[in-house]
Amino acid sequence: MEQFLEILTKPDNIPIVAMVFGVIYLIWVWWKQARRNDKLIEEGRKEDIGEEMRR
Amino acid sequence: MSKRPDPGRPSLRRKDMRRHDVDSAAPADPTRPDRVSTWPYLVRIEFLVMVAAMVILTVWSITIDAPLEFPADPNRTPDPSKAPWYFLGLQEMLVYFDPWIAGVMLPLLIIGGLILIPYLDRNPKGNGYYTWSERKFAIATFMFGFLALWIVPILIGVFCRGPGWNWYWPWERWDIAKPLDLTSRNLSDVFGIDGDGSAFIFGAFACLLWYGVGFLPWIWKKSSAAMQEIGFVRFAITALLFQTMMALPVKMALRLALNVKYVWVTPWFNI
Repeated sequence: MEQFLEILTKPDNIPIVAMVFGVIYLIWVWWKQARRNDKLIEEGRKEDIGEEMRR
Repeated sequence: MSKRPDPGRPSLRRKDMRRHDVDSAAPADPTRPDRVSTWPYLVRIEFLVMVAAMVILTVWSITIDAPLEFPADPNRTPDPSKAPWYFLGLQEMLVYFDPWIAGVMLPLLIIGGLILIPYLDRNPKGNGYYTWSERKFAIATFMFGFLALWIVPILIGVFCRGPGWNWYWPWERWDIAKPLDLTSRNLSDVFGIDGDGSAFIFGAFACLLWYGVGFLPWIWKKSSAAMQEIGFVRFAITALLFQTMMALPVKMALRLALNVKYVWVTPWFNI
């Protein structure tokens, strides 16, 4: 694992670590909001999506 | 004369969303605005993100030195020689494709395909709001292309490629001597096809078959309302882009499982 940690902590590779966390976080944000919107669509309340997303 | 919205164009208009939402039984509310303003909601967030990015980059560039290496020396070339991190996905593709494909054609198709998405996708569902249930195929395709074929190859290139561009697991040190790759072969060799002419015809057939498979949905569902809405030209471009995208994991699997280097060998180019 030493080699892996050496690569991981190189200043060159900081954006990659940030990218991994960024991608995970943004997918989580999308998924959370998409599930809420899908629930509204299922309930026939598609018109409320705009308000739900601005909430 | 009032300007009528084109149903084929992406739209943020609420009434367009309502008009195309045949499944929804929700009645239209005439008191709601026809359009949603990007100011102040979106523009304010974009401005804040821009300021935050400026601050982070400024602090970062002041506090961390640029990781420069020794001056270029033809007698001392680094191994592995890696591209900047954001291009490592492309460098990883070079393992599986010739440079004209991995370095020129695929990047052009990726950029061109992303530009074409708003013109190819006539389904207004999901415009302006997050959803999964309404756009499963589109989202799954994009996620696969972005995560599996772009992010993962970058991570492989950074963490798993060592000297000689050989594969090293994170727990392996790079000073372990790795054996050279086994002798690669072409797909025609796997099927026991000898002779340049036969191998050429076999390779051409394999490529035609691969792209032909992409047109099966059109043949099966040509008369459906969704296909009629898309039209043949849009479907054909989408199918060609999709099959090209999916050719990457297939070629990776062929290389890793069967040590196949080329599917189609010609005197002019190899795929």
